[in-house]
Amino acid sequence: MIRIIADNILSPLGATTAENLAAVREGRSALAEHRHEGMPEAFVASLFDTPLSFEEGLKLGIRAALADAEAKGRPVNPSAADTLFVVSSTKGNIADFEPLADSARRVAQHFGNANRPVVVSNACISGLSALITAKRLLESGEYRTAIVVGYDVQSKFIVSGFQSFKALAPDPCRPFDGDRCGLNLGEAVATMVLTVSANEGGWIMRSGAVNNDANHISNPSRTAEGSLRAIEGALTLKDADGSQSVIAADDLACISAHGTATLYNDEMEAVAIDRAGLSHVPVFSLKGYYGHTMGAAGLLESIITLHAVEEGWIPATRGFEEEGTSRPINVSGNVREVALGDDGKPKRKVLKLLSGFGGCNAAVVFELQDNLSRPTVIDRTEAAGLSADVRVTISSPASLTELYKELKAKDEANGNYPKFYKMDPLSKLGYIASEMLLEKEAAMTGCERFTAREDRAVVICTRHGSLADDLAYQDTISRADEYFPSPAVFVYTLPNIVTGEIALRNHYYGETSCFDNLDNDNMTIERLVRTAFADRRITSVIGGWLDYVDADHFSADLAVYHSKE
Amino acid sequence: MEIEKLKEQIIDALNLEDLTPADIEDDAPLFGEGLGLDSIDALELIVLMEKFYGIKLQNPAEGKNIFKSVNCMAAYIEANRTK
Repeated sequence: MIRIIADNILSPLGATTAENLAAVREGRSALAEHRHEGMPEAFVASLFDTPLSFEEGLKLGIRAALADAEAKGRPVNPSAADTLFVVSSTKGNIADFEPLADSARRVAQHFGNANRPVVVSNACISGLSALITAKRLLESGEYRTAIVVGYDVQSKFIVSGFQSFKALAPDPCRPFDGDRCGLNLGEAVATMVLTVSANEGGWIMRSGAVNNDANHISNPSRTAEGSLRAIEGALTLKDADGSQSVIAADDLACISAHGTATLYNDEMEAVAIDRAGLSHVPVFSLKGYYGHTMGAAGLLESIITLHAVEEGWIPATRGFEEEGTSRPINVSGNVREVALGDDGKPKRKVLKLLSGFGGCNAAVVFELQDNLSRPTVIDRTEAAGLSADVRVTISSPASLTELYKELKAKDEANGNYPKFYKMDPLSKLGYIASEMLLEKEAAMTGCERFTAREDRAVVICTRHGSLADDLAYQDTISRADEYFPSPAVFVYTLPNIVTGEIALRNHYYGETSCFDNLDNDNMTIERLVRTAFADRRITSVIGGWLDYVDADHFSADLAVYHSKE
Repeated sequence: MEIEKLKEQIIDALNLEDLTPADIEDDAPLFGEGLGLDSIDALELIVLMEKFYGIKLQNPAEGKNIFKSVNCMAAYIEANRTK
């Protein structure tokens, strides 16, 4: 069992989980109008009073979660060899244009931890991706404890990008409401401590899944293809004997939705919830209290959900008045009681959802267990070996445009992909490497390309991520007299977009994940690729290394991986 | 309003690398099948109008009518430009 033994939320609403929980219960919010220097327009967001840098934020959050573990009589040694740090962020240290992995390593070292931290940068689903990855790595037996922490600073970079997307609401947001008109951004550091443990009562992470829409890099699927598959994946449990069981809708106390309050996200989630047969389950969004805290969202919203349900209540959706989605779902603007299950006790399973740019969607099921004296078997997935049957490497110097033209000339029917020219360099590199790889695979195995499939995942590791595009975007906002933030450039500043581009091109509905890694180290990359096979629907992974600094410094090393199991 | 210049600005802003102004018909729909443009392209066209013509469009939904065709866009720019 993967048990949650401690947590912390540091937000404008409080420095402890208890303070934050009380604020949500009382309906308080820190959403207010702000203005960043050098930006023509004000915006509504939930921001720390005093700016808190990315690394300082991570340290404060981790320290507070460690204190919580200590207070609960479950002290954790952060420097132990079997303790792993997992960091969740979209653009955490963008102020310094530095790889996330460098910040994460410094933070781990600050706590005396010598393990290479895992850094998840999977757009808005990062927090749940980080929890799912941590769970899988713990289950593989490599680590005993994972400290999972998420944070994003709402800098001018991020805020201007969301403004250019016309995605921000001028007032406090109104999730799922008929009058919703966009999201608010927010700052918070959220931390969860997970450990492998036999049944001792408390919350466990039961299951989780990530699926791509294979639809568009910023628009959610109108039919909720990815979110529906993620929900189905999370609700399907594997028992120790290999048999499957499905968590019934009636067993769920509530659904903690993404509920960003954009027109399309909330509509998509309502479709997913309805298609999954969960339309009667109570649903809520916490964005009206915190705004969208990006890398922290999956952790923060899970922590509030678990504590509230344990106390017997379901948070109100602040800002919601009237139903505003095409499919009816069970949202309320009021705090509700957790309903009783068939056993006469309050229900104790919850479903957490997130969706993000790059077409990614995540779902996680948590379960509150009684304190049983009977010991349960610890799940352990023996890590099966991987085989990389087809492999492609590219490195500078080379012209990505010339490589694209060569691919196009080779295959008149499918090689023409004008979208290539719209991509940032990292996505261009990923597109070319994956095209070469998949052409090679098709030639070797005779398999057909472009048939929709959900058994294939895309797992990419990078060091510099979208750095080249980050600098290009910064250029569109750095001068007051030439301030024209570009949405088409901004969207690619999320490094996981390349995984979405590959899924979109090839109609892959499986998991897509992006990790920031210190270098092209095969052991770490294969370890992360292997985690994707924990989703039993996955039979192969397009995975490996993509890194782009500039035209003279880039490299790609991708393979089609199969599990030897 | 010079239509050719606007077409060049559109090609440049949307990275329509394989197209020339001659490929964009004055009255053909910009969105839908034609050029394969999407919602991000629509947002970029809003930036284009602000950058070159000083037009600030607050509600992206208005774009739907303005970006019907190059002719439509040119007429809107002509009527609303501040630079």
